[in-house]
Amino acid sequence: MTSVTDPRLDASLGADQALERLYAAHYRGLLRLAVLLVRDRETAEEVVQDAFVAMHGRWGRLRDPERALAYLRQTVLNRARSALRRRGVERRHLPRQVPPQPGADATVLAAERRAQVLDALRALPRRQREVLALRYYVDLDEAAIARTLGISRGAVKSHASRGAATLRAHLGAEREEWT
Amino acid sequence: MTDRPDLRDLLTDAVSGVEPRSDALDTLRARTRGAPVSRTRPWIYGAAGAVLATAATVTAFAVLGGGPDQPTVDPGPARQTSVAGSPRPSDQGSATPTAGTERVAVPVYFLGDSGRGPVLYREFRAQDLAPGAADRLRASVTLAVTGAPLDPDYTNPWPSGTTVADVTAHDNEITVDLSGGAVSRRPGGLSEQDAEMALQQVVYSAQAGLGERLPVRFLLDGQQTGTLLGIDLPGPVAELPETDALAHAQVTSPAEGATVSSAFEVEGRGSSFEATMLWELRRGDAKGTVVRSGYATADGWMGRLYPFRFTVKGVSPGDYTLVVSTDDPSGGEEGFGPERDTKTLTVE
Repeated sequence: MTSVTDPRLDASLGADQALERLYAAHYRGLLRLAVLLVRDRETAEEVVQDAFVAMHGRWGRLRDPERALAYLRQTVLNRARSALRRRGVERRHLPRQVPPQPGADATVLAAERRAQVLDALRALPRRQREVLALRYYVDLDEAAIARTLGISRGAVKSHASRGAATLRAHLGAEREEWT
Repeated sequence: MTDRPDLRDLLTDAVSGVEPRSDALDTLRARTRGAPVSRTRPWIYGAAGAVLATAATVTAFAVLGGGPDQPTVDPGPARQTSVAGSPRPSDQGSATPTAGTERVAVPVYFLGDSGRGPVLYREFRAQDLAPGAADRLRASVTLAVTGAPLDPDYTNPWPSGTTVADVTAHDNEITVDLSGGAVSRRPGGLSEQDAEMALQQVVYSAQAGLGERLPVRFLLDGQQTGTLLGIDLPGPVAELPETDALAHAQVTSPAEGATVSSAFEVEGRGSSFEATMLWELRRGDAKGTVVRSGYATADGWMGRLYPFRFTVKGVSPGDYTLVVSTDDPSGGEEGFGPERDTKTLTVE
């Protein structure tokens, strides 16, 4: 989802058309990013909806799909933070240590594995979670992450390595069984 | 950072089942139908000439011009909606941001007086910045150290010639590297209280620009410094509590010198007895005849500043001063007396 140049999106587009096209191209990806950030599905949808509405209001000045996507992503990050603060439960969800049930079928195992990853991500400090999501889900490079979050590249590196280590530790035991 | 394909797979897989709600696009269409899309004059919004920039929080930072659904950064408990007015005529002309930038409202704090001594007031400035928090942080800190307040009641205590060499957000602190006239000793004419608040002014501005409550480590010409403006700095400087550092009555919108229509909304934040903020609209200056008055109830009053808003209606054209103050039921007998913020306005 990093390649965003879409020749159909140009400056002559109206805000409504831009909304439709950006929705088609990026809504799902941004929704998934938001789920990685806030965990809760409904909150994530709300965050992304608000971001698209804000983007629509600014289209006259954004005009460019690359900038619109960067703006949407930034807005999703900001609003995800606010949403977590509003709930005041930034680290409430500790990883659930529920082992897969013996004999559970593949679908159940997959759902359980996904929930564990999201829980473990949610338990990370906010910056680490943001860096991991931008690095490994959105596929941004270090410089772009530093720009997006307003932190140094060194900080990006350290958040990424600490976050990854913690995530692995949380998930370590279960991972054997998934594969 | 080495590549970690397994983490990539894990995260991608974790959300692979997430699909938009079936009515997601319809909801968006409904929410944006008929929405005003400001194209060329982001500072001026509608006939009132006042702009709607929702800066959603104390520390917030608003992207201007599109109405109430703006992205915000909200670092602290003090959340509020604010509206930045057109700061001055000369700022209104440059409407279209240059390529690669967006016009945003940069928050900055300046010093004002109160019965308690110097306190901080917030203003917003329109600037065209590259997207991302780093530029916003730098803009807020630079304005705090080198900028001039719009409101003539406020001052900037930093010695002229002080420049901001670098501002960086780290994990647990913000570093602000000063040079030029910045001195470790307190200049004559600057009281110790003012010097303390000068540091707080930068701390509050930095946190507002970044959108996070992190302490500020001050450097002088790239080096650690033991004192700044005569204040001992054992380490990074944290923000004082809001009720100590900030003025208890602050008008966010209209901004100083704004032109408004005969009915206009006022937004601000405050901390006043029983959440009651008093206001008066006076003809001419702050000593003029009261033509309208009333009170507004803020969202709270204990422990921090809370947003308030009210509408003034039916004002005939002319020049006015809006005075918003805290309520002092003791009539000045107890405490430090009421605090206030004044804004000169032109009603068209």
